[in-house]
Amino acid sequence: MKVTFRGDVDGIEFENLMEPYNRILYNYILSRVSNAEDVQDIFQETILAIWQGLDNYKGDSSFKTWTIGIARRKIADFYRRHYKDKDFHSLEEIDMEKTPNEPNPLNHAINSMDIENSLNTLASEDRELLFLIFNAGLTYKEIESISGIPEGTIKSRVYYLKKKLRPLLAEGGI
Amino acid sequence: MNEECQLMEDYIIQYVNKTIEGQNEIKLINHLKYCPQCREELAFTIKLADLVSNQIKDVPQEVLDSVFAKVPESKIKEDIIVISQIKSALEPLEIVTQLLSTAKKSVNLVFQFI
Repeated sequence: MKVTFRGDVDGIEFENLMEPYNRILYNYILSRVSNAEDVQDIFQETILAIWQGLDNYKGDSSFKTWTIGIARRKIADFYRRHYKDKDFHSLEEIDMEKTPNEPNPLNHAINSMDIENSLNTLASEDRELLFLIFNAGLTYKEIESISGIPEGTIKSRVYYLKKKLRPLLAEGGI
Repeated sequence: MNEECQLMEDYIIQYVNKTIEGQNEIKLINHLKYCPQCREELAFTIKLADLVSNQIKDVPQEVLDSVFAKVPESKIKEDIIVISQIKSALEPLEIVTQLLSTAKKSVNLVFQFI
């Protein structure tokens, strides 16, 4: 008989249990996937996987980190299914050496002064990192635990990202 | 940028995303008092966080309704029913155990007298 997590929540409806996390999970998926229907499908899969996996949640990480980790796997599954890795850039695939040689996608944004959209011109893995730090409120260690990227790599990634964005935010004056 | 400022860069991120530990928060605040560079870094990090959080949208109610409608009616209820059934099944056993323990006490008492 399984009486682990469910036993502890003792009658609390799953929907209420998820209420504080729905917004962050949905927006996380939204930040990685553009098609609204796909976003809803992945959100659905994530919620079902959380429900099915509740017994496996052992409290090694915060519940939030654990659920975001599940959403992350579901997003990866989606890209694997649909694009067979062709267009999929996950946080793991960051190649630090390549970064300085890439054309700066922000040049256009700076010219148009469209700061909001400039975030969308960032590489997907950069946006993901910013999302996990500022919107999900995860520590570097927690990001490491769900993505497998060493804390040190995350740190230097953030350093380069800030360097890239600094002139933009200064000019935009927001 | 000196070594202390490098450390403060991490603390500033943690301060802005509210994951900073108490001791480090005190260190950061004390550092900011005399370091204009890190104060600028804090201002920049706040701007960046604002920019990123501006993109957050509410989950449409119809999405929530549809997603949670597909979650099975819940193992929670099943588990609770199972537990309460087991509990009520165990009740007679508990009474027997209590009777036995009372009987044992009486026997012990008798033995003491013998």
